[in-house]
Amino acid sequence: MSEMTITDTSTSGSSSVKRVPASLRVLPFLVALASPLILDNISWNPFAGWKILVGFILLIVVGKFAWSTAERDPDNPRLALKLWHRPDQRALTAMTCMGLVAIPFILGTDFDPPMDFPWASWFRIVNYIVLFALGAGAFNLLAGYTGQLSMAHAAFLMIGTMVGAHVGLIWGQSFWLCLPIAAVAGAALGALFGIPALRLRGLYLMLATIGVHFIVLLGWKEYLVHYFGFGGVRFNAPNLPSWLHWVPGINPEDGEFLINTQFRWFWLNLTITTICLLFLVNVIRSREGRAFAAVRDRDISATLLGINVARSKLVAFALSSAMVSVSGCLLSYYNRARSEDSFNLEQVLDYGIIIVVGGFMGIQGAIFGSVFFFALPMYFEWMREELPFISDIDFFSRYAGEVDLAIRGILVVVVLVWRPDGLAGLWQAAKNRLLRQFQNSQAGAAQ
Amino acid sequence: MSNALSIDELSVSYGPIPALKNVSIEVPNGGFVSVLGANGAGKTTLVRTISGVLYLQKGKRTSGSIKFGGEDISKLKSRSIVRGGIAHVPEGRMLFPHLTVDENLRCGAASRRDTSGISETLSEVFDLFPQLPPLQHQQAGLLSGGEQQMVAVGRALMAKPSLLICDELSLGLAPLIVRDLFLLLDRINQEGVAVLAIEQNARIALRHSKYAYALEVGEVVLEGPSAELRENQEVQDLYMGGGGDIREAYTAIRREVNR
Ligand SMILES: Nc1ncnc2c1ncn2[C@@H]1O[C@H](COP(=O)(O)OP(=O)(O)O)[C@@H](O)[C@H]1O
Ligand SMILES: [Mg+2]
Repeated sequence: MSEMTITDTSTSGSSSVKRVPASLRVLPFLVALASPLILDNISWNPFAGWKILVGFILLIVVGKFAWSTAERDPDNPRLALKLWHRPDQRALTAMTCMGLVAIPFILGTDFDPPMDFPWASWFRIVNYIVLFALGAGAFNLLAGYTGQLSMAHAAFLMIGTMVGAHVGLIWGQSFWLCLPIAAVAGAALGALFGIPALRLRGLYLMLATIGVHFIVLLGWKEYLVHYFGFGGVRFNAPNLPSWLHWVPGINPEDGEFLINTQFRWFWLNLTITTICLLFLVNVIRSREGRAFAAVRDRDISATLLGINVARSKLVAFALSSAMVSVSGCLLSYYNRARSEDSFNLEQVLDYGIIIVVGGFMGIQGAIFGSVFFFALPMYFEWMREELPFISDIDFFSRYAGEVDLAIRGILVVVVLVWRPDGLAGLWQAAKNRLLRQFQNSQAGAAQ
Repeated sequence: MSNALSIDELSVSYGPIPALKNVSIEVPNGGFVSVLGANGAGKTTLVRTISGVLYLQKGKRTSGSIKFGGEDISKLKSRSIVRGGIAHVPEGRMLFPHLTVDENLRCGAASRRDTSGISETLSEVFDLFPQLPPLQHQQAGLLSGGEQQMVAVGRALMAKPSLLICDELSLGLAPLIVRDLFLLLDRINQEGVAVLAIEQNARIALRHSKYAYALEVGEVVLEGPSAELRENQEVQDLYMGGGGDIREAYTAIRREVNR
């Protein structure tokens, strides 16, 4: 899909077989995940900013280590089917792991960047990025990968929220029970609301799913009035189950560990998003996932080959809705408050922008798109308020929201004209180019 | 078990417009049969009916039967038909342009229950088309026409069919590539797979098939062993040059009018 091919021209022995024991293969990833602990426990402090330096060196070492522990076996077709088996994929994945676990520690430090760049609020932004990446990834599976243009996204955010509110607050059950129930409810209702897709497509399906949105919206308003009143719902902070208290870095107070800080939320969001997105990536690579894409590209052809088009569409709807519903539940607990007007059709457009800018055809696009969507407005705001010259322009501060939207719109157009496959496509192209240069230079050195 | 295909007095119409009238065609077990006909003769309609996708085009079988291996398949779903052993290379190739060659081929095995044998069939297909393995991870939409046609044939073979139906394999391809493709069909046929080649290009189809039918405005107007038809003056006039151009232009116009 989004992975372009790279012909393996790495030096002379490209046809040789290289085997690496499994323990050595996972070691770089373990080191990457444990890097915060490693960095925290070095008590050697010769100069300021040493941690950044050591961390940077460790990052390179981890990448190199992951690269060199890649297996190579041209005759083994199973290896080629593995998710991250090429050296470059392994190195990037290990470095990404390390970067992700480092983020909360970097953002958690007491740091005052020059020009009042808002450091602390970045934590909130990062958490939103992670949460929206989950919802956008699920949206992409349906709209991008299966080609079913659904506008019922916010409807499933509402369903997840209602499950969260009902199971967690009305029934008083644990937050951890809400997530699987939200998933099941989302899947069941997703398959139900997916039925129009068996008959409609394109714009017609879009209109039908807008109908679904308003039906669920009505349900949500009724639900709120009935159970919570006009003030809306207030969710309480999830409580980490006690059997997880052994995890390093967790120190319960009074036998309780509430997830109530940005730092703690980050880990929860990251874990759930990672699990769900990895699951989606694996679905896409399976027989089921190929059928989704086949239905999108040419459904007549798919029927001819014996693919059950109706089933494929419904499975895609169910799967996507289940994950959106989970993300809705999580988002509501993270937000802590949800009211009557928390969900509107505009939110669906937000997710649409995320996947279109990020890249339509893969899960990667959802991640790039979320970063684009949340990081940029922060930048704009900062530039508008702090940068000399720009902060002087009266117009910008007067029409702040509109200017932000306009700039975002312009950027969307620029990205799409420049690269129709979005930021993910841009990234792939850049990566392949770098890799080819690297391989050429290695081949040159070997001669 | 015999895997002969026998179509008996088949009539099909799109709404009020009849497309096939009392068509009877036999493909013997392991045979190589071609169906000739100009644009709009009803060739594709015939294939769609056999494969059970006629309903997608709002077409309807009004009479006649289709038997495969002695069993009536005219009411089966396309999925069951593929499983029963009839694979279809659609007109215009119809690959999944955003999937890789490898993924396209694997999609061809979507109806198979023995998932463990798929990799084996894949390597057999790659043996048959040595051009494809280097292109394995390329997007199918970016391949040349000839390569795409190979993928389309390979994709159909992934279902391990006992009858392979090719709808206008030669469409838009250079003569040399068409020749290679038909040589491959010969090879596939020699391995025991029956082939039904639907063609406008009568010259090549008659050279490779053993028996042929000529279809004209929905009716079989001529049939016989390919070698005999090749010598037939009428066939030469109608399908192998000589007046064919005017006729094609005429049917093309009629086709447009009918839309
Ligand atoms: N989906 C359709 N709806 C209505 N008429 C159709 C449809 N498809 C084909 N036809 C008509 O049926 C006739 C046979 O078409 P077709 O089977 O495509 O011919 P061929 O494949 O031999 O060129 C033509 O007259 C065509 O206009
Ligand atoms: Mg045709």
